[in-house]
Amino acid sequence: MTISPGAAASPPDTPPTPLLETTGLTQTFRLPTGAEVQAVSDVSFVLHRGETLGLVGESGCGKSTTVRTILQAPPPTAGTVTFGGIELTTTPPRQLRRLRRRMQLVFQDPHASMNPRWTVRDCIAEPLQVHRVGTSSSRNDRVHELMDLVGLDEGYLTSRPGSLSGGQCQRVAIARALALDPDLICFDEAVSALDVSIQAQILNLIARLRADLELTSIFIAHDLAVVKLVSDRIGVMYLGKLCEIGPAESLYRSPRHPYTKALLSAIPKPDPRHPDRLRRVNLRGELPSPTDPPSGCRFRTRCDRADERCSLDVPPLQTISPGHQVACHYPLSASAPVEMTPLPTRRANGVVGQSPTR
Amino acid sequence: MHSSLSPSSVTDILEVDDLHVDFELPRGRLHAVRGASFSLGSGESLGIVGESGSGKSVTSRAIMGLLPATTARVKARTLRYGQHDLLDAPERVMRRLRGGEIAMIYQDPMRALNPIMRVGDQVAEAIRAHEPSLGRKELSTRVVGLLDAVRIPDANKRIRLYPHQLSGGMRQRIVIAMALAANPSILIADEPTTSLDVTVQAEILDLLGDLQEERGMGMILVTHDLGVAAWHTNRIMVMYAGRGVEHATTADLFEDMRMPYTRALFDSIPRVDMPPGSLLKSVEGRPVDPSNPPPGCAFRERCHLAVEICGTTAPPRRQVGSHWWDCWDDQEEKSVK
Ligand SMILES: Nc1ncnc2c1ncn2[C@@H]1O[C@H](COP(=O)(O)OP(=O)(O)OP(=O)(O)O)[C@@H](O)[C@H]1O
Ligand SMILES: Nc1ncnc2c1ncn2[C@@H]1O[C@H](COP(=O)(O)OP(=O)(O)OP(=O)(O)O)[C@@H](O)[C@H]1O
Ligand SMILES: [Mg+2]
Ligand SMILES: [Mg+2]
Repeated sequence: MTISPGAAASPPDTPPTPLLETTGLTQTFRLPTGAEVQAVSDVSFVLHRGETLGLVGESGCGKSTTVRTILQAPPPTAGTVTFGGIELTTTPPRQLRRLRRRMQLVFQDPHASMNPRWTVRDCIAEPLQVHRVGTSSSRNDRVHELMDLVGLDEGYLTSRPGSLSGGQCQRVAIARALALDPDLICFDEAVSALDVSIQAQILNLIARLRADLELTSIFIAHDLAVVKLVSDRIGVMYLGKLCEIGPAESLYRSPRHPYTKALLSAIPKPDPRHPDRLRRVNLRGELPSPTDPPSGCRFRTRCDRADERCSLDVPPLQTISPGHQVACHYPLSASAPVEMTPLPTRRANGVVGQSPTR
Repeated sequence: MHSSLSPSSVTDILEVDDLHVDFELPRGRLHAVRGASFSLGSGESLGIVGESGSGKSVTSRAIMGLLPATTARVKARTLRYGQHDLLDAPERVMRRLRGGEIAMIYQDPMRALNPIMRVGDQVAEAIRAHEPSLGRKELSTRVVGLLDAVRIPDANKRIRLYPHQLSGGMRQRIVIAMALAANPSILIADEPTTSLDVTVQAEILDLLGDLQEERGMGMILVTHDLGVAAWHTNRIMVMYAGRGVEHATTADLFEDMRMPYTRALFDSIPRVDMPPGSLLKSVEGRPVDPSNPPPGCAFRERCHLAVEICGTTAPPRRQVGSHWWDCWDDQEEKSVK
């Protein structure tokens, strides 16, 4: 068995349909107290084949819920999710289960997602077994192939997850997610718990897999530098809303939503000689309660541009330049970049190459 | 007056020289720390940086006297806090130091807090542990004062909440408040922000930096991220496989990283100025097995500068002022002023 990118590529003469499209995606939870949380509110975006969308935003802004809602676990309260041309919200459960193998999730804590009594081989082979793919010997070949793909030594085949390091365990989780040739992989804080050295290895692995397998993915991480490294486009969320979405490079270079700018300026630079610390845009006030979000623009209570209009009207997501959308009544101008000039370092500063073009 | 002494040697409140920690385990001996040396002046902050398993936490726990007595073997040329020799201080003294003079905060605030006790009561308990005679009124003033100190808004209201009703950042502030309860002269923060969100991380690190300056506390910041240490420390010791391999003032270190591992650590940090699709210069290969460290330089298998001697003989310690590093490579030594 070989690894093929996206199972059902569209014929050359039809315009490319996105692999995934959400419109008005909304997820409301009712808490035991009776209060409601709109964890995801009216989120619309498209994701094309081979593309990686990064999702960023403060804790609790709804990144994980967005991904879980796309996977229909649980299905949205409102809105639609079209995956490979199929509307998931109206798909019967039986068919949905079959579709799920084409969408995989990789979590932050790899140890927690694996049965401690299984061997690495069992962990990677499980999805193949569950979906009755191939014979026992072809499954075995596939396990070897996957281990090779994620850079795991075959010596670990019979190891238990508990004896693996965090980085090795995350490689197993990625191998497992790749086992069924999914069309979409969602990485939810998949590198967040790893220390910087291991994180670099896993990020490079993901970059390589993206290029080699033409993976389509959604990548969530709270570290904005990490997200930028692996994403083609980036969506910024605040209290369940998508406030800005656009190409990674231009969104970081010149953010248009005041919240994006504040987030970007909070990134600590790994060098004490960098002057940025003094220029940080501090978010004033605290994150409002998600059960009682501000009226109008949800960010207005912490925004220095907000006026009455912002408390009355919900700003719609509007296209501001090709592929770049922002939900703000008073977006920043394109010429107000966040200061991110690289420092002159004495030696090479870490970039060893660009990923191959896709 | 004391021209023969360097200024720091006069005020060092903590001195660690050639610390070794072995664990005697059923499957053999594990060398967790194999030579760590640093000192801390009052009001100074030191970063201990290195990858997972390099011995950072064991080093801090050795200072706190918190290693399991049954398995840990601690040795050092010097392990001193103020007048106290920490190597053979009686447990009674250690307990007093731990609670009062040297405080520690950990990565996960949830583990340091009691989930079924109001946070105000937990802070109060931390204060009472050192000042049992405090009256109720006075105690609650102190609690609110501490919460103000760690910039918790509406402290009066929040003392009534339980840990799960607070955000991760607020919880970590409570933990810091508890650590400050006894006015420690040294605060050891072991990965204090790893479990927090990026916006909150920066705030907590700034808070720790401010508190350290305001209170003239010594601080040891343990982190795997050289970028985090960059902002909040005066000096840094880089550890690899249980050994301190480079030490310098933070400014000197970033000006001139000498040990190849330090540079590799720096290069593995993603930076926002890297274009999407960039690959990181990661340190490939695996850390050494602490129960069987190789002869020579432990980093050699992962080092692009390694030559034959690195595999046979421990590298020499090179020193320029307070900057020292262990490496056989000396091509650039002359360039250091
Ligand atoms: N099953 C649930 N029931 C009730 N509320 C929930 C549930 N899942 C999530 N929430 C709430 O929805 C909001 C969004 O949570 P979500 O986990 O999606 O955020 P996130 O952006 O992934 O945060 P983090 O960075 O901390 O992982 C939060 O307010 C959270 O408390
Ligand atoms: N109580 C213990 N008993 C036995 N071995 C231990 C004990 N504590 C730590 N070790 C071992 O000592 C070595 C150093 O561990 P330490 O916790 O100091 O690493 P660290 O640098 O803090 O790593 P991390 O970044 O993962 O916290 C590791 O090999 C670890 O497994
Ligand atoms: Mg999440
Ligand atoms: Mg540790």
